This record gives sequence, C-alpha cells and structure tokens, in this order.
Amino acid sequence: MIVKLEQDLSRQDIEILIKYAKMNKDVERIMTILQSADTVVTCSMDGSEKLVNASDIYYIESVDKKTFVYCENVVYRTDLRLYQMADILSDSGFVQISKSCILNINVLDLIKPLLNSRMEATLKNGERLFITRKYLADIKEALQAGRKRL
Amino acid sequence: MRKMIVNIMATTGITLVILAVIALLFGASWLCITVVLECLGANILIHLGFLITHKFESRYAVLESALDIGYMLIIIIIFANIFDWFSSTPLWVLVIMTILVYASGLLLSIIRMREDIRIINQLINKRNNEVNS
Repeated sequence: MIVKLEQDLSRQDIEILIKYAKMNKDVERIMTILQSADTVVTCSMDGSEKLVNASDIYYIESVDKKTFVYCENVVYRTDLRLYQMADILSDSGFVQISKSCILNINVLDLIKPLLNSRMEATLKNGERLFITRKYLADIKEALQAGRKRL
Repeated sequence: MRKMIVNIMATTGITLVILAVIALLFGASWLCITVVLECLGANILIHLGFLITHKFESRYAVLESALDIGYMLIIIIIFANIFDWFSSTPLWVLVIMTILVYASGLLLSIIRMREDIRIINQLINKRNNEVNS
C-alpha cells in the first residue's frame, strides 16, 4: 500500500482519495477507519459538553437507561440511547456484543471462553467485557468483512 | 432461519438417540413412527420459544439455562399430556431426558463457540500484525 501525503495551504478541509483495483476487505477496513475518524458524538462530563471522535471510543454501555461512553482512560455520558449510538456508529467499526454494550472492533485485543459458556473480551487498554454468545457471529462477520452494519 | 432449521433437526436427532437409549434401558425394543414426528413437533415449538427466552440476558448463565430448561419442561409436559407419553414414560424420566438433550445441545454450542473464538482471535492477530508491519 502506498501512502502519499500532500500539503495544500489553500484547502479548508482534509481530502482523502483511495485508489484501488478491486473493492476488497482491506479497502473496506480503511474506509471504516476513516469514517470512524470523521464521526463525532456529543458527550458530556461534569456538566460540560464535548465532541468525542468515534475512533477514540472503546465501547458504549447502557446502565439503568443511561448511556455511558468509554474511551481509553475517560468515561463520558451521552443523552443518546444505545440504539441511537449504534445507528450513528454503524459504519465506524462498532458491533453489538451484548444487549447493553456495543464495542469498537478496532480496540478488541482478545476473546477468551469462560467456564460458564460465556466469553470475555479483553480490550487494548486491558479492560474486560462480557460477550453474549448470540452476538459472536456478528463479531466474526465484522472482523471478516472489515465493516458491519449494526 | 437456516440455522434454526439445522438446530431443530440436530436437537430432534439428539432427542431420538437419547430416547432410544433410555427405551433400551427400560427393556423396550421398538419406537413408534408417530413418536418421531411428536419429537420433531416438540423441538419446533421449543426452538420457536427460544426466540423469546433468548431475549432475556443475565450476568449469570445459570439463570438463562434455568429459563430454557423450565420452558422445555413446560412444552414436554404439554406434549406428554396430549400424546399420552405418561402411559409409557414416567415424569422423572422425561425430566432427565430434557436435561440430557439440553446439556448435549449446550455442549455442541460450546464446541462451536470455541471454534468461532479461535477464528476471531486469528482475525484479530492478523489485523494487529498488519497494523504493526
């Protein structure tokens, strides 16, 4: 893969052009990463609002009808419901791993089976999350396809 | 839908094998053809019900299993009354059979799950290697 960077002082925004011979998983994955870098979510912490980039989000969890956005070292709250977040982030590499949690597939480090027929995901920051068996096929599909609609 | 049909056929097969083994232990030498179809009917209803029971998620897998087994027992008791299974098979045998069928299905599911996990971890490693190279 050849990566070219070109500075153009007249430009207001970043332009990315991907040239490919055939659409394949690699191209789709690059698109997913780029889309996640371009998607922002409005979150709040200590009463102040903040725009959080989708690529910085590790996972989103719904607890008692409140939605929490977990980044590497910081947790935000959002007024959006989990299904709304899933909709916004559907093209950014996020996949549902349980009824109450959606995960950024790009921060998934390892999955291991537990004794009680459950699974545990280890993220790149060392955090661990439970995975429900019925979503395992979606995770596999998301990793195989490069991107997956929720 | 395809997966559900495969699961119904698989559990019907397991049910019939366990039924045959238990029947042999009780000294029986044959099974009625109608019993095969009754087992298929019970399995279809059980899997349709699983579409609802599997919406329930708990941190404790044992609760989910208890709900599934409870639902299976309800279906089995209803079928036993309709098709007069109790005349040849006592309730406790039906309960043991239900648990054995569930345990067999769960075991197959765990084997499949472990294979999926192996593939997923391979895909993650491949991704990480590509990013690092």
